[in-house]
Amino acid sequence: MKSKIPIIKIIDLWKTYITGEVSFHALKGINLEIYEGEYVAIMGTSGSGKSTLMNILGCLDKATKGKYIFKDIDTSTKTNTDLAKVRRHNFGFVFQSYNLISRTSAFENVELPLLYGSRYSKSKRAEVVLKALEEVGLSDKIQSKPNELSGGQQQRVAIARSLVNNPSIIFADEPTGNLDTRTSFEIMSILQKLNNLGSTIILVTHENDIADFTKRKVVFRDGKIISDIENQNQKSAVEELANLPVENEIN
Amino acid sequence: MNFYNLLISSLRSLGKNKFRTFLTMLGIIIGVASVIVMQSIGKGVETSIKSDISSIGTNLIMVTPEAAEKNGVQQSAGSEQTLKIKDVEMIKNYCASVKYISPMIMSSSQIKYSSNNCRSSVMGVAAEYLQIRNIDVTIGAPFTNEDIEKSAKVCLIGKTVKNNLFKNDEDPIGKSIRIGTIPFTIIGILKEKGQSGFGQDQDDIVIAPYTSVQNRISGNDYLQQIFISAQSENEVDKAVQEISYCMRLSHKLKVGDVDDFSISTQSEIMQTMESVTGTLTAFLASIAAISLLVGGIGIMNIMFVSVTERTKEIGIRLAIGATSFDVLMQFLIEAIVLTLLAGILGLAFGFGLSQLISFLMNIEAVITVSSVVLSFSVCSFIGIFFGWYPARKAAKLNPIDALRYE
Ligand SMILES: Nc1ncnc2c1ncn2[C@@H]1O[C@H](COP(=O)(O)OP(=O)(O)OP(=O)(O)O)[C@@H](O)[C@H]1O
Ligand SMILES: [Mg+2]
Repeated sequence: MKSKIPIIKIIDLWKTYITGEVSFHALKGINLEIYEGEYVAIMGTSGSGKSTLMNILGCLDKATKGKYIFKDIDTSTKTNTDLAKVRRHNFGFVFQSYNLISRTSAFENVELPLLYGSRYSKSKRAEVVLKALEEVGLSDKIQSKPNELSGGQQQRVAIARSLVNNPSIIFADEPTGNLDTRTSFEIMSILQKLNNLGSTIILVTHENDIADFTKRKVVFRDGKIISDIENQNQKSAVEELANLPVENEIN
Repeated sequence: MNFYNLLISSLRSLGKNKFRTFLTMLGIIIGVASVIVMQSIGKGVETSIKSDISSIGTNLIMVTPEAAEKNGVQQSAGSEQTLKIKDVEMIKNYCASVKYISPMIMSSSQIKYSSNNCRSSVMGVAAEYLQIRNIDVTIGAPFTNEDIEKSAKVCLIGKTVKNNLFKNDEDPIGKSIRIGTIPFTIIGILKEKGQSGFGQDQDDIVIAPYTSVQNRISGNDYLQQIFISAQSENEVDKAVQEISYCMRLSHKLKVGDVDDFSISTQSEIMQTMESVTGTLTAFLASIAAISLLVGGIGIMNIMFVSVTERTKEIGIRLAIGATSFDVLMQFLIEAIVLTLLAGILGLAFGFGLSQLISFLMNIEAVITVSSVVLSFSVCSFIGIFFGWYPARKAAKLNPIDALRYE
């Protein structure tokens, strides 16, 4: 199934934080390859370096040492502006804390990557934005502001925003961290659908339940990878969602 | 991001945060408006005083008595009693450059008409005084040289005196008023002059023949001032020399004696006043500078805080694919739009306020280009710089650091 050339290749990657006199190695020589179409869960205890790696992979942060090659781009040689362009054409981000721009409607939040990245006309933009919002099931909340949406709905807006520019990779750092089980499964079924349609997804989570929906589990401890295995029995989020007891039926 | 999209994003962002936008603008509005108002009042007072001084006529020369040393004893100021009518005669007869001349004595008296009364300045002058000072009589006629010879009990009154003593529809001409206890007949009403730049009501006045005032009111023959008009503006200096010569002769001053009078001209008064109004303008300018400084610090603060507060938003934009340049341009455009809008509002507010003040204070509001340019450019510069600088700092961060900013 795997294509020959990895979309992400990291070689002996280190990240060292220096606070005052103390230096702390958050990543200690990571090697990892990820191929197009993969759905990878990055797991591990709190503080093990999951987010740190994710941010470097998403070019939101830079490694202290080592190589990160995205497609055929050696990111360590690129300027901030070049990296911004890499992000705008290739990456979509979903954060634990949603990170929507406040006082700005769902539509405008989702439109934002297109304003920076694309040369679409206004009507073409509207079309693409509406399609993305439809994909996450929010067609009826187009004009709602973040403070008028539930956490789950805000996360869907964030997912719509992450996929609107048709990225090669979606990075999701604990996207279900603030949500209840049902809503988490809803979000996971959206991500799973996107992966089935061909998106490469890298997901950070510390819950096995959530990681079960992915195809590969990479486990971290103390800034190192301790295991990297394919998930032989990937669960279907849609099915799991259907199996959840409906509140009305409990009584 | 292309410019059009940037502009749209910036305007949206301003519109979405109306209160923040308003607060930021307020600093600029106040800064610009206060400078304009201060400056327009200063300039307005200055021009109004200047025009008052010019209105007294460029040919005007005034002779006033001066405290002179007499036998080594300094006489107290104001007590001088050296000007007499013979000085006037002397100048009239021997000074060729003099066109008109009039003595002047002034007293403040109680004026009565039937049950009404008021206190006004009573000025005793010759008929020529009206020509020297360009005073018109709108109703009735001025007094004549004959009235002066006979110490006639006639007078001209100003608008304020008329309003104080007479009902609206009553015709004062021919009516007899009492100045102190002496009855005078009103023969004319003076044209309205309004307030002087010094805040004096120039219409609160009664003008009568100087002989009548000397003989019937003050009871002595001293003059307070002599008003002279030179033949032309060019002959003022020559006239001053002639007058000085005649006065010394008339007062029998010997060579080496100090003048016991002083001669001043309109241009000298103008010079004195200019130094006074210059001080006033400088004072107001320093108040304006302080308000500009305070306004500037206000703008600086709120811009800095509001941009810093948006560091997380900057992080989101960077993550989504904005370059630092995109972010900077957006904040720059926001700052420029905000500042210009506020600047224009500040100008409008400043104009309005100066008009209001000029109306209330009865002076002309003079708005100078320099105050507009200065206040506008200082506020704009501060607004734009402090909208841009913190945005630049944030845009240069790693996106993750901007995102994590608390
Ligand atoms: N900006 C920073 N400065 C200093 N130390 C940092 C910084 N960011 C992260 N760290 C440290 O690096 C380590 C890894 O952090 P990271 O956020 O990657 O953990 P994580 O695996 O995502 O944990 P969690 O599951 O709690 O999100 C932690 O010990 C953290 O204290
Ligand atoms: Mg984390």
